[in-house]
Amino acid sequence: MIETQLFEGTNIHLTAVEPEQDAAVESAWTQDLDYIRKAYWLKIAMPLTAYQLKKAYEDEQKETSGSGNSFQFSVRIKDEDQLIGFVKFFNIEWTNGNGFIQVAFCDEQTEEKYGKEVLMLGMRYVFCELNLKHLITVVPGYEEKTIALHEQQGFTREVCQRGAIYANGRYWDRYFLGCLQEEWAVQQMEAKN
Amino acid sequence: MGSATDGGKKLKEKPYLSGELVCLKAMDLENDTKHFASWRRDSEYLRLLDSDPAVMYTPKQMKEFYEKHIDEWHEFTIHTLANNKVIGFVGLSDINWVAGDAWVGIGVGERDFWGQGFGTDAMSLLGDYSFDQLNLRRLTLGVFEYNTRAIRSYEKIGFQIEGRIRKAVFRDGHQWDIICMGVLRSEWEEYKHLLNSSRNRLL
Repeated sequence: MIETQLFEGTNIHLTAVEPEQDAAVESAWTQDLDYIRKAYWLKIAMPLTAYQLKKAYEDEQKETSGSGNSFQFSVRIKDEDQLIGFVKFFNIEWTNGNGFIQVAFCDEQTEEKYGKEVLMLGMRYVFCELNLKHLITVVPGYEEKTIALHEQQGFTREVCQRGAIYANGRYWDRYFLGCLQEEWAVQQMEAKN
Repeated sequence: MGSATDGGKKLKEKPYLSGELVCLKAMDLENDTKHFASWRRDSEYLRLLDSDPAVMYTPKQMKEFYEKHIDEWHEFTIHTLANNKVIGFVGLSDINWVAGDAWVGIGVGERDFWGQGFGTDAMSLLGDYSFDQLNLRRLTLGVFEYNTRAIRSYEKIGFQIEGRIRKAVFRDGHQWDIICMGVLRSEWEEYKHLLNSSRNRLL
């Protein structure tokens, strides 16, 4: 209960974003346009400089201490402290009890290896600490593995925006996947039994 | 460069941004913001407009807000054709130029103009503008499930339901879904074809 370490997983942990050093690492990841489209779904897909990312992190930190409607964590492998991804909570509407989550990893293999653990930590944080009732994520339709990862953790496809993304020479659907707190609670009970 | 004709036919057949009941104009940040502020005293209007907590702002606050954001948005004030009365606003946000998609939003603040086609006409004009002038491919919106009048209006002009964000709004002790709707260019053209056909039958 209260003594549970919210930021500690088995193989990874969540830490504060370090603007200077994390920006340099993430800048290299943005060479993969699919990473940009997943991690920054409202931006045009183009590689980002460390300068742009550092500024984005600092703006995000100001937003967190200002409105308190968004939070961002770095995901690092324990012991090595190597940065492997980010988990972000944003567009939080406290009066309505809902918010968005975005998990992004340096590459597909890392997401396959650590995605479930990070998503579980993120969902526990949202439902037990932020006390939200509904968690939503947005995923491009071609990201089948990412969609499957979320569906395995209890997310449901709620919205399909037809042809809302253009990538690699064609149009793709965009999905909003959602999980209610009561659905997550049932899944936790079933996992214990 | 060619002239503004196409084989002798003028490209512009009627005034831009002008419909059957309303026209859309650029905002007058000095005067329109006084209307925006006064409408916010109607909490039903606020609860239909968005999911933020219902709160009032002064005209000065509204003006400062719009001065800060006016360049990001494509937003218009809605004026009645009959007497140029300002009754609401409508516009586009988060335009994704790569995919040709944008979110649309509308607010008719003058309660006397609800349910009579003024909002539908304004959205129809925005759709024409989006597809014919901005070359967008689709439009997106979210509407609360309790706003049945708006849902009917959007369906009338071709929007399709694409899903529901479940229990996304919590008001009066009840959780409501946000219905997500979208219209593709082909669906818009179908709506316009049906509209023009019915108008031609009446002539």
